[in-house]
Amino acid sequence: MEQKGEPIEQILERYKGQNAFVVIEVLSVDPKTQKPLTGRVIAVTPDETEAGLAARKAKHFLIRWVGEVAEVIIV
Amino acid sequence: MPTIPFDASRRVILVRAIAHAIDGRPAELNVLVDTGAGRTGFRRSTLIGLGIDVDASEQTIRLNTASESLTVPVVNLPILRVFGVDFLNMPVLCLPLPPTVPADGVLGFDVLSRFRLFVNYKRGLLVAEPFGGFLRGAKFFWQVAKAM
Repeated sequence: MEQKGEPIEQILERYKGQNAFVVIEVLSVDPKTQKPLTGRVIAVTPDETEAGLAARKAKHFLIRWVGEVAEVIIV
Repeated sequence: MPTIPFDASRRVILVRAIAHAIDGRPAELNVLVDTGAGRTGFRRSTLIGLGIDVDASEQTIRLNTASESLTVPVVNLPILRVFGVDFLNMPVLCLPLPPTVPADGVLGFDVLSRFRLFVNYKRGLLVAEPFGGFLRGAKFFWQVAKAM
């Protein structure tokens, strides 16, 4: 498979700690597991609506928070 | 996809799911397996990214959580793939999850009740097999034996 874009882990590491949503267009996936491998950044924003609207431009996307993460969760 | 590994050190069960927009565009999701939740729901950003107009939803639901009560929109998700099973035109909630919650959404009873489930927290393994037929049942117990 042709490798395009940048490894997704590498992208997330670069923005780590920014307290924002990173919107990534997935450009390649693992042929066996179909998990995303590489992508490109479409937007970096703390606003959820903005992140969602940016994701609409991508054919295949993921949105990840790159700020502080809660340890305990009650839903 | 009967056996799914998860990181037990995070103190939550986070698994992968895929949602599709009406035009077929996929979104990669990390979702919480929440046996205490009645309904499945997703973040606003995820639903908007899938082309769903959350604010135009005509249906809302009163949601009672462990700590509060709030009204949230209900929207139809064209396709949700969980544990290898596709759910079509599924009504899901738009959840106001804080950004610090490391998930795009929550899998509740409406999805989880379609599966036999087994969790080995120590090994970080979740076995999920949809109901239906003797073979699926046998496969589930075989996978559970391996995950013990």
